[in-house]
Amino acid sequence: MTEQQPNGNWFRQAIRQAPWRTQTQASSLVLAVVVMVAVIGALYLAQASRTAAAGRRLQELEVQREVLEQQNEQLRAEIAALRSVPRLIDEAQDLGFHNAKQDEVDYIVVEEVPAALGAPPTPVPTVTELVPTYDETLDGWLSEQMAVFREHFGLFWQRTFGKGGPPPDG
Amino acid sequence: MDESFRRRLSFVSAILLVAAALIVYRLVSLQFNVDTEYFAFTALTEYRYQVTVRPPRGELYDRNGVLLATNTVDYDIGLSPILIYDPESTADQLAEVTGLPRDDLLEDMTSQEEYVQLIHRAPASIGQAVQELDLDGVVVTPIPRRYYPHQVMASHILGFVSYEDIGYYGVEGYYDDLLAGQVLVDDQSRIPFEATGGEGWRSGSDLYLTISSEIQYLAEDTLGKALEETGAKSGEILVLDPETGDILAMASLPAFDPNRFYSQDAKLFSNPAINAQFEPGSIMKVLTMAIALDDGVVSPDSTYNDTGVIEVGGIEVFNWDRVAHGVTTMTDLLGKSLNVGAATLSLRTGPTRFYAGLENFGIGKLTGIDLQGEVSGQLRKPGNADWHESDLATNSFGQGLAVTPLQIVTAIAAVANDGLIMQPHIVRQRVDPDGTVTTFEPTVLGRAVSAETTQALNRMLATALERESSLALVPGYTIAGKTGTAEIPIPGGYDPEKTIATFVGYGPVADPQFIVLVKLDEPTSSRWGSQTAAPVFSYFVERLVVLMEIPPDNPAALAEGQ
Repeated sequence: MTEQQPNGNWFRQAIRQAPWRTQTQASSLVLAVVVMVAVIGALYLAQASRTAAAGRRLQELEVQREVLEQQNEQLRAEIAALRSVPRLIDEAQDLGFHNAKQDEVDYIVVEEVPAALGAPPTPVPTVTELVPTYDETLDGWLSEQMAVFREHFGLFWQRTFGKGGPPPDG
Repeated sequence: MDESFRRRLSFVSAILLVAAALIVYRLVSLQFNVDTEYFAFTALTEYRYQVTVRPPRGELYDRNGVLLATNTVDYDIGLSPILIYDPESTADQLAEVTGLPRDDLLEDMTSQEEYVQLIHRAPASIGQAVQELDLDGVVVTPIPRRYYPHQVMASHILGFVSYEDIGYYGVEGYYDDLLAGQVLVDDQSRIPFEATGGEGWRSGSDLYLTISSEIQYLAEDTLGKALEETGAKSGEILVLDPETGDILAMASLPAFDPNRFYSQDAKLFSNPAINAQFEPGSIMKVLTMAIALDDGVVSPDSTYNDTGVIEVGGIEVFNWDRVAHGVTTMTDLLGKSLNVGAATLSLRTGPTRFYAGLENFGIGKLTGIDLQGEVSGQLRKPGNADWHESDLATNSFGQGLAVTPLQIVTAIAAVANDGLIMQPHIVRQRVDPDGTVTTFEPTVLGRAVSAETTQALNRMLATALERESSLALVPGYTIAGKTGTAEIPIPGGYDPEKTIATFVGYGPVADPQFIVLVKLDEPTSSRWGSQTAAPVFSYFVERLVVLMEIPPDNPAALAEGQ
């Protein structure tokens, strides 16, 4: 009976990768690449979808704005027609009014009160604030998400480990 | 495994791999524009289109903010027959809203044309109702249109805007670039991914005019009645603030409706207040007297001997009544409107100083009013080939020269404004789309005569009116003014029948707040300005002072009913 002698190759034998392990590693690598590509693709697709949806919404809003502006203009025109001097005078006469005559007017002269035809009032302009242009990009979105993540992580670090916090960017 | 099978498998795999690689390459190139030339061209032709964005035209307001011109929308309504899936239902709904015959609509829907127009420029009520139906194959196209809510009122001031969005005449013509804003021609995509807001256009500026819509209406209403009562074929009433040059009203009849410019007589579009020249007649004597007083040739107390006729340059000048009035004061010269007296003044003044004085009053020059189409009038001067010595006499009472109504009222307004001649203007303020407000300040064009001269002349004109018991007098108010009856030149002389009757007056004399010119062309009830234009002035000013809230400066006269 011969006693099995310890062999120096057993360790190498033990750590030598089995063929199945090598295959698994290769597969994992490929899978990781595929997953990464898929994630990037999904992100890009999501971004593109959001942009397209926003664009479509923008087109709808443009049309809606145009219709509302047209209706607004029409209403302004109708109001102006209803407020026109000839119509108001006709209405007033129908209600029994007439133009004031000189002997029907009493004047009370108050110093420093402007006359009826003083300088016209300065119109108050209405300036509409424009919505900023939509210019988000994938890079921008990722940077924004990273910034949010860093901010949250910083808060988490402070709460957990007190002062200090993670090293600043750069 | 069979060796042959292995080779075949490898071959098929290689082919599939190459195919897959090609597909991936194509996807990448399409997605990231690696190969853009062809697709960019296709996209441009298929998915991109050019639009012209016409910004809203600036609006016009009167001095009190009353809207005078705004924008509205008409609609073109048409069909794309190939896109209509349910002709019966579509025809039913369209017929109900538009009033078009249902059978005609059904016939249009079977047309082989790509587009059939049903209504051109339908009103907003119909266009918006069809738009709300949201019918497949029914095309509703909005078309901007300028709208003037007061219709005929102030049409000569405002002008109009053509269907091509171009302003003509009046303020619309003069300020067309400012009102139109900045048009944007933009490439747009039908792909939502590339949608943009179409930025780059700029709205037109809003303009606030100096006119008051109430005074303008009063002027047009008064003028309409005057034309009816005097039989005049046309006329103008101008109202200015002599201190600022603000035009408070500028009425000219006959007028036109700018909403329907396409169907109006084009001869009506011109504004006679700024481009109809006429011989001013006796209202010119105000300027002749002002020049003579200012030069010191005469004083308010001077007299002259009126012989009823005076010969100048071989031509005899007579008074309108052909009567010799003897020793006459300067005030009576004005009150009786004596041609011999006016000619005497211009002769004493001399041609050099007389014509320099007329030029100082702006006669023969553009006033620079901010309205399209102004003309400068005609003034022959010594040195001009067609000037004759007799012109010195005839010009003094308003013959042999031509002015526009605005020109003469601007000149006489200087007499009401201490001798300063003001730039007449129609736009008071401009409001840009970004909110910037620009106010046009009154501009002094120059000094025509001294303040002392005008103070003396004001008193003389007011006294002359009272002495003659003029029909232009306004109870309770001191008014200075002058009548005019201008003959109308025809080839070989003057029309023996037709005249232009005028009256120009201002008040209250102590602090004039308005100057009014009434001009009636060819009145038939009487040929004299004192009998036609003067009472119109009185009627108008009685109501004007109420609108302007000017208290009487002579309440005793008001109580006596004078």
